[in-house]
Amino acid sequence: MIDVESVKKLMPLTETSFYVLISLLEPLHGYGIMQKVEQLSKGRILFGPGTLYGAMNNLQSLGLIHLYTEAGDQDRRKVYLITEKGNTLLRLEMARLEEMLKNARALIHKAERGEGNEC
Amino acid sequence: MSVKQKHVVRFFGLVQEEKEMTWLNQMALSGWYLVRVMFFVYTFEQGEPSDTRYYGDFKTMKQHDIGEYLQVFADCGWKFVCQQGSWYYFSSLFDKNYREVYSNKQSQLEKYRTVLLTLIIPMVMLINSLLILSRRSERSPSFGLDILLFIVFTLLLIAIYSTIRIIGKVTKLQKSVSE
Repeated sequence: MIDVESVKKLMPLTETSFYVLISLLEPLHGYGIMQKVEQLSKGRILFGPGTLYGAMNNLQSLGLIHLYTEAGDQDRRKVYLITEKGNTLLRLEMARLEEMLKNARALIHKAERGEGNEC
Repeated sequence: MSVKQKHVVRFFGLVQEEKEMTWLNQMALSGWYLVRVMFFVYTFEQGEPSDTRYYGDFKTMKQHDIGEYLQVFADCGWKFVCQQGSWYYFSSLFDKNYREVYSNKQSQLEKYRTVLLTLIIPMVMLINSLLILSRRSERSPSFGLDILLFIVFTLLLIAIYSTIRIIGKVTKLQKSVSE
């Protein structure tokens, strides 16, 4: 069972952690994560190796991602996948982000209408 | 035909990382590539000059798998050069594919936090040995003990200085992250 309260303590996620988590909804290795995030963000986010390795290490120690396959003899790249705990956190984080966006949209809309009335 | 090598002795402190890297970059620009670092002795090999960037990353053994770590760097175009203690030296050609080792301040902050945590252990050991030595020197003073005390004291001062400088760096990074 996932303890939702303890998962909530990990919020909010950094942009790096968030993108690594959503990338790992399918099994990928570090290089795969990098390429996927670059593609998802249309080249805006280019992970440096220190940043990516640190994030992978950190998310693994928090139990948000887990080792999917050990590295082979030829390939030192390990494959990871999101855990149930990681999935729970992702849903909570999405709800938080949606709330923020919803509020921002509503207030921007209101402000724009307000300006229109003054003219 | 053997590759020409040279050894250079240079002292760089923990807080002179940027200075060290700039020096290594300049060496590569004049055709000398780092192959090894051992106690302030830098070994270089001669090659074609190029605009190469060096980076020293800090990783403690406990937190990682070296093979995978080096692979992630290699995938980003950073070649592993050598290791000294917990410092790993990498180099990358400075071309259109070049990317920073830490692409955001948050992760850079984590690096220096680890450096800081790792400094605490030797510092406690130094303080501890300083106390033991000074107690012994009170009971039976000797020249040898005085020299030892002086060495430990100097090392402690260096450690305290480095710690303060790194705390300054961490605080600065932290500020820019939370803004």
